[in-house]
Amino acid sequence: MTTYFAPSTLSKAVAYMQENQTTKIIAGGTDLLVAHYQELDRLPGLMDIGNIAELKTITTGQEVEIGALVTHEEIADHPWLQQHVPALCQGAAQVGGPQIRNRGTLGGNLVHASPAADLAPPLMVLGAVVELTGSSQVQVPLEEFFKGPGKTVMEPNQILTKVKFSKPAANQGGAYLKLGKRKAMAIATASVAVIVTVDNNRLADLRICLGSVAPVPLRAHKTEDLLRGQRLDLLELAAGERQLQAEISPIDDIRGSAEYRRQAAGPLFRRALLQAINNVGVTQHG
Amino acid sequence: MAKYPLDLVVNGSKYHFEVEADLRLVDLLREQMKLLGTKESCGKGECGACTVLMDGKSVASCLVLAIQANGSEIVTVEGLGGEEALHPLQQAFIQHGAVQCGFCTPGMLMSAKYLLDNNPRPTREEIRAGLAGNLCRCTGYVKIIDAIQAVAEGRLEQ
Amino acid sequence: MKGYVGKRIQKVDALDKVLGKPLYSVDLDMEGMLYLKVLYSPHPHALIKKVDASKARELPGVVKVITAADVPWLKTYGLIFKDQEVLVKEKSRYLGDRLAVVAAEDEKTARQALKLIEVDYEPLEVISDPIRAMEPDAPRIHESGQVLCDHPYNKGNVLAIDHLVKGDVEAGFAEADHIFENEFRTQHVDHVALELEAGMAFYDSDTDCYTLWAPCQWTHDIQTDVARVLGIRMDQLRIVQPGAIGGAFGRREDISVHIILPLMAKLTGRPVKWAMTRGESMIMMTKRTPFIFRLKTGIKKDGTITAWQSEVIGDSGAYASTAGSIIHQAMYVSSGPYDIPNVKGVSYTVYTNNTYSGAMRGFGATEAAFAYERQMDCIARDMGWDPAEFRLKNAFRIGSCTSNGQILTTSVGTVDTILTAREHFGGKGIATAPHKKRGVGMATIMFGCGYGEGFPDHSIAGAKVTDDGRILISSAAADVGQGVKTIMVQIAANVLNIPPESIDLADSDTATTRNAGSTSATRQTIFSGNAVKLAAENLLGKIFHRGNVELGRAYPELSTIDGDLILHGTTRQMSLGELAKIARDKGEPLEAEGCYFPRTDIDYGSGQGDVVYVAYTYNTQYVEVEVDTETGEVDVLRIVAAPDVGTAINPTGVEGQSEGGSVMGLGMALMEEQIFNKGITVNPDLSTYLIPTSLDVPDVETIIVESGDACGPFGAKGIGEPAMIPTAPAIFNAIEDAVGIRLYDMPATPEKVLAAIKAKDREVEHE
Repeated sequence: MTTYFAPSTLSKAVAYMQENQTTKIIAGGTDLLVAHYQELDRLPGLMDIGNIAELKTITTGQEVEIGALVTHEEIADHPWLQQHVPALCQGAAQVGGPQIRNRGTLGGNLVHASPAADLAPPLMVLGAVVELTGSSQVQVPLEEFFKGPGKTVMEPNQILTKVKFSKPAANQGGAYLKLGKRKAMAIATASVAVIVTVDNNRLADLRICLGSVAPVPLRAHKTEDLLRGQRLDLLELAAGERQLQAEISPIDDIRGSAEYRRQAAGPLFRRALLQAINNVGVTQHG
Repeated sequence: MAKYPLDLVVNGSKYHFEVEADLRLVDLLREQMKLLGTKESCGKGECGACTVLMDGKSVASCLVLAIQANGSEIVTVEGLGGEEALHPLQQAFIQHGAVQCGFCTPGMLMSAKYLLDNNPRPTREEIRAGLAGNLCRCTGYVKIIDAIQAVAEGRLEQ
Repeated sequence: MKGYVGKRIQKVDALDKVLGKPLYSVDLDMEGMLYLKVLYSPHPHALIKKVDASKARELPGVVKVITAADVPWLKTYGLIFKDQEVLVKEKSRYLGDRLAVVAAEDEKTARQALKLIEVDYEPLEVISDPIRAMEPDAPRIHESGQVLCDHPYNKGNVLAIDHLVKGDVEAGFAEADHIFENEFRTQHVDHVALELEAGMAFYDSDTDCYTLWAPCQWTHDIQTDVARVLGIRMDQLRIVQPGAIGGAFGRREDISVHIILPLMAKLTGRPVKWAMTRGESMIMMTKRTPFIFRLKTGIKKDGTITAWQSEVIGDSGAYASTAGSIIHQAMYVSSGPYDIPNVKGVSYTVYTNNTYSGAMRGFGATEAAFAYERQMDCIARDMGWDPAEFRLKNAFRIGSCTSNGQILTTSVGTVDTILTAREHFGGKGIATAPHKKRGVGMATIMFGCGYGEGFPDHSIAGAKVTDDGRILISSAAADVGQGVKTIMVQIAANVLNIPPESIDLADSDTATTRNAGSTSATRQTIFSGNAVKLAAENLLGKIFHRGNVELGRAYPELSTIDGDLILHGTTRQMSLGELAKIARDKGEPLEAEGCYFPRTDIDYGSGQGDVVYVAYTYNTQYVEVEVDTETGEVDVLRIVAAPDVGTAINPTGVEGQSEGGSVMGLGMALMEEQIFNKGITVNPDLSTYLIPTSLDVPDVETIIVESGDACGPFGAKGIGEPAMIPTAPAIFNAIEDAVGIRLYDMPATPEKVLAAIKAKDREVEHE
């Protein structure tokens, strides 16, 4: 017996979740309806958060806030985001096909905690924080949010309501690249997001996050440490690739072997890094 | 099982239903409304055969609960154009040989409409990207892309 | 070409299809209909100890549950060997074996009921590898042995051994200056027709007759098998093709829903419907046969091939279906369109616990071409030949003798298609990045149209003038999307000189149309095309005869124009409708029939015959790829195809086949593989079993070659299967050209390509 409740406000949704902790939250449905294909009638209950207007907004400026219900297509097509956080838009543009991007949401992409989620790496390198709303509201750095495939720090009564990050500075640039078994509608075999800070022709700082190479989206701290501070014209790219390959822990699955993921992640990272450096300044006008 | 009221507009007409929560939009359209032009081929949003427009956006109707369409406006292939007034995309699909088995055709047409509604002059690569969520096993996509390009460039034979 | 042949006539069913109007099998329903669901074996190879459906039978909404014990009288089935049970009694041989069928008031209830059925079973060793299956100690998948051949290794699992002997292969190798030996492997591929298996059936207890609506590539053949299994007369079972068929590609040659539906309609007394899910279809239904080809080729210094030897092992999976034919045909054609005096071949058809193999676009020829066109390319490369020149040196010409011993006397397109494709292709472009490399590959293939090999292959069609002056063509030829309906209308229009809009097609229905043979073997254009042409010509003869009598003037003064019979030099004319009424009243209705029934032959001991196939279609493709040397990704940038179709009845249709076939070949080359882990499919959906999307494919450039002298109508030959055959080897050859890696197994996933590049880099370092 599947019950259905579609609150119009966040407070109603939160109140309902306190009472009905086995209820599944549905938004775009592009993951939930796949996971429960032909077994939807066995779900105890559904709460559709799709009518909660306050979760559908994008606030731009020095501090950026994206509501959990913002769709992939809205992110991919958003002119301000395209200009300031192109890596995030690239990630959103590579989720499924148009039909999936029109329904699938930012919140859904994160809460299902797929190691291959396309939005997680670009948000992670932006230093994003997720806002979880339950009996109280808490902010969790995205880096601490994922606990394993399909597992997050969320409590059963919490709703992911927002993702927040600061606008990258003028001397920062980002990129997201994805490797799949075909060019569209493919779950990533490996993916990488990079954000760089360039100062005086040096790589003053960088953050790297990879998807599909570990149980959770993975920051490559050692590679970051290796390359941080290097002169752009003397970047030790080959050493960076090797370090990155050494610090990831991919597995064998239907989309690729551990060895292949390790091999391909190196050049994928190098290309993302160079693209990110190339994007410094280009995206910062206005 | 509990039923929930559902009001929506399909192909320009208003409808009211009482539906169970687990009914999918594709089932509402096909089984209850007998709008059989919308096809299902995978049930998991992987093929695009069930594509319809929901408030102007293309969606996989197998991944939308019917109740989620409450208050929405749905357009299916049956609402695209009738026999006497074919939509230009329908004309182009016929003229360019873009139809083989026809099972992907309704979904392709709806994705093409969504593409052109939002980008009336797409490049060939943009058309490819616009169709990336719709699988076709017969045509190799070439003549479907030709047809859409012909509409975009106003090259339809009258 | 005059008239309506050779014209880009719009497809006769396109208007309905863009409107979403045709009813496919899954769209059908009837008042009071029940829904079926099937319980499959929990294990790919197991002794079934108990199937207890008592709890399922008690579930409200469940009308009937049957297991093997309830229908002991059912016979076994299969397209060639009847080795398949409708419901398995004692043993499951693959994961798609059926244990129970539920009929319920709705699908949800039927699904719930499946979960209530208890099964006890004892697992056996699962044999997923045909090499293991052939070993003496491998458990026998089929116990009976009666259909199995006498094989020294394993009598239980080797279903057939076939041979081909032309000339003296040992003498040929002795003559050679170089010997090349390679092993190539192909994979399980799913057809992924967009329409899943589904159908509906109804049983009329008053007449004791069944009606089945379900797509078939060959209605009359399925009718025969189903009637036999159910123990009824043929005329008690009527099969009606649904309004449209959503692709087939060989899959719909096999029985899917066709027995269980009429069976359950009778047992429940209600109309029943069964619609499979994608996962169910992928696990239960046939696959492209996986092959191992061991090829040995002898070459003289001047590039002449002196001898060719093939050892071919094909994985039939759990049942025979048509795999025995597929596998021996693959062996027969595994030396390609090349004139070779000494050829020897042997093929083994082997049972395993994988999903069973069946027909899929090419029927062995697709897999064989991957092997022989890789072999030819490797030889050309190793001997320093230009790939096209090496092929031209050995290519079939008029007067050449095929490996089956057939002297080719007409319509031999190998040379023309190579030259045409090469010229159109031109040269390759420049790589778009330092880590990317471009390559060009070509492949040329042949394909025998029709069943050949002495099989009684024929098609019967009818043509008549209706009282309203329209023409009605009757044929059971299945239009699975490829366009045979349109072709038949064009041919009739051409013969009768009547516009296509004035021609109707009867529904394909075993009760009202006669056997047209299957939509397979690239045969409908030739066979049903010729049958329609003959029927239309016979009808035209009757029209002229009747016109001669009624208008009182001689034949040379008569002609048909746009639906009227015209008497030249006068104002006298008569509509065909009027003429038809008069003719009918005089007891000589304007109705005619045509049958095309050419002879073929073969000696199965040697694989030799005079006319093994009635015609061969040739196709050469040039492909340009760009390989990412760091990720192994292969981007196919161009496909140039030059198919020799004799005469293109409808050039748009030929291009459509060429484009769709090429993309199916691209999918097989680069991404498609149904992966079995101990008999269990690990990727039974479309997010893990990938086919090409619009972003994965280039525009296919098709240049139609028309020799114009084939045996089909107006000199035509078929195109459906040969359209896809050259693509995969051409892509592999292009990859080798780009990055110098020699791949022997499909598909060339990024992972395999990268591993080969790394291995090659290591070799270079060592040298």
